[in-house]
Amino acid sequence: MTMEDLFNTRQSLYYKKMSKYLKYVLNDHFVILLLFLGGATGLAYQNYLEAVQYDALVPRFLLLVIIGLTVFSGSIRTLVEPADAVFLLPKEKAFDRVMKKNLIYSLIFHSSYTLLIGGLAAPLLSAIGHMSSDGVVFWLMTLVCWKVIHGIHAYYSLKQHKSEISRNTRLIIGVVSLVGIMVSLFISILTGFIISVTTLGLFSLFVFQYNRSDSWSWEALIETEQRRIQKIYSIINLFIETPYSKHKVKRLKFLDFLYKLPVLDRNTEMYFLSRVFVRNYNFSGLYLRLLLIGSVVIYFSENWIIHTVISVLFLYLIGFQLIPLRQTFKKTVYFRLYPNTDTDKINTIKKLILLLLTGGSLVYSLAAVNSGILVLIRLLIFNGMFSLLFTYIYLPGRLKK
Amino acid sequence: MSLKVTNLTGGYSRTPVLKDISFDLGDGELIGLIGLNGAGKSTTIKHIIGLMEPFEGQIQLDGKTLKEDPALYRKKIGFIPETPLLYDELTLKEHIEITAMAYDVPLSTAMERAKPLLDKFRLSDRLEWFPSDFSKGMKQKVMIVCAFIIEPSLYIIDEPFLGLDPIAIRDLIQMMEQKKKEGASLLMSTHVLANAERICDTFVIIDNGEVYAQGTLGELREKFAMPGATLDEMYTQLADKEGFLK
Repeated sequence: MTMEDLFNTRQSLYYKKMSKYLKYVLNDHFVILLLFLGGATGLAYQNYLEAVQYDALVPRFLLLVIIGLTVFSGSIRTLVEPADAVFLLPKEKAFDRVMKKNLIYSLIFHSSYTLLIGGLAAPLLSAIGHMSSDGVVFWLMTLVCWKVIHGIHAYYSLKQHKSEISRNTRLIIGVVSLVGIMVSLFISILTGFIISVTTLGLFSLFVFQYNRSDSWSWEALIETEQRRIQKIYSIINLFIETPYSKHKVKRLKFLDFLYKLPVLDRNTEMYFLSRVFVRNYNFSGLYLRLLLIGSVVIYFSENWIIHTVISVLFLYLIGFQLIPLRQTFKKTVYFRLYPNTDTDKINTIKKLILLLLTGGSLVYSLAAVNSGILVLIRLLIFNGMFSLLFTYIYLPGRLKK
Repeated sequence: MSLKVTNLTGGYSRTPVLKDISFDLGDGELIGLIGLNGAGKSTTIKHIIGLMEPFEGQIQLDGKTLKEDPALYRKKIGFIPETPLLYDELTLKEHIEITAMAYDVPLSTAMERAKPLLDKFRLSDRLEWFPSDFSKGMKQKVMIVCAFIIEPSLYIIDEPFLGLDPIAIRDLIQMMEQKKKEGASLLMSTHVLANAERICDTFVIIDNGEVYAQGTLGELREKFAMPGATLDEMYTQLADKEGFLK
């Protein structure tokens, strides 16, 4: 079997797995919600375009953030697995060809969504009188250039270099692309375009000629790919439990006071579970993210129906996402060996989830502060009821599965 | 009589891996469980600690089976697994705390017991670290500390020497001998026959899920008519002759 075959098999397995999970992610409810949110956002955007002032500065800063995030995000899909560092090490040359293909694939993929975002931003740039209709082409090409530069840099950083050089390269590329995007947004689309093309040319020369390295940094390859896969799974895990939730664990010492909170039971299960929740980014990170996104949406919406729908939806997502806490007990052998584990593990999970949902209910209700105290209290009651129903009616069945 | 395994038959699916295994382990005694890879050592251990249920036969600890009094049965066992099993999310100190909590050892007592062990293993300044980031040998040391702080009456140690540095091996052997003197029973499975020969009182040789032979070193020599032979010599010759390797 050649290296190409190996990676082709891997790729088809990868697509099979992803499309299987995608089916669950894009379930009917979620698609309706997406259409609903998409339509609402589109409408809001259109209204904004009509209302925005000629020569306004705020939209440019907004675009700077959005474009910056678009350009700097994403890595190269390599499908490298940890064991490759042992088994493929002697075949670096053959691996080179595979990586070139990966690079091209990733560049095309990243460029396509960059084009989409750039295209959506174009009407705004026209509305503030910054871009003529011919400028659109240059604007889009600029964005693609920056995205390709970022992709090549991602590729470059997977090879072995002197740490000083790679640090400087990262810094220079970061600063230059930021400056370039700023020039496009604040000064001139054409100048920005010229900067991006020049940078792309110089940087390609640098990566593929002057500072060419033939040896791959396997540790970086594996780590980047693991991180990429984890990111995908952390999204999928919002909708369905996958067995691929390896996790980053952080000590987070400053949160140690949380474990001493009197609401937590003093038993072995809670001792373990509370720490797992806080330190495992899969759980605490998603909880915080959902809290934040939900609160922002509620804060900016004015209709009480939307408040209620959004907060219940987000509470559901939080609760649902915490169900895999059950797996943490199953994964360790010790809770089958400990003598004092008559206390029900399921109860501990239920208690923790109820606690977290209560916290969420509180936060979401407070986010509706703009709509007045009455709405706030009504929302709190609603959320509280949902949390109780979720924990005592829905959860027991799910946890038994 | 501390641990009594009687006619134990068991395994993972319907087909038994272990066939009719019997042996006794008294107070202050150290038994070496000897066998090739896949002979059934770890499976035997899993049955004893209660991770697997026997198809037939009985395992009694101080006259009680696991079913009769699970909490009491489990509290008496300290287990050191073959590969270190640690909580990714807990620090070294918290591993000690959760062990103390689970086995009803007061926290201060657990820390007192842990202190000399941690010093011995040079782990004292790593209490706030995640053991899952440690090297294999250091993880193993954490497992040893956690098993020893509960001061069980039966220690079950699966392949204790792999990955440990020579000093740690020496220390562990000393600790095991100390516990033996204090009256605890120890069951150890190992491939390191030289160490086993030095410290074990009796041996249970398992092959293909059956007890092939058991007894003290003297009894084994007599049985196989190999006077003066070491355990290693006896075992390899036996393995060749009996076709253990098949």
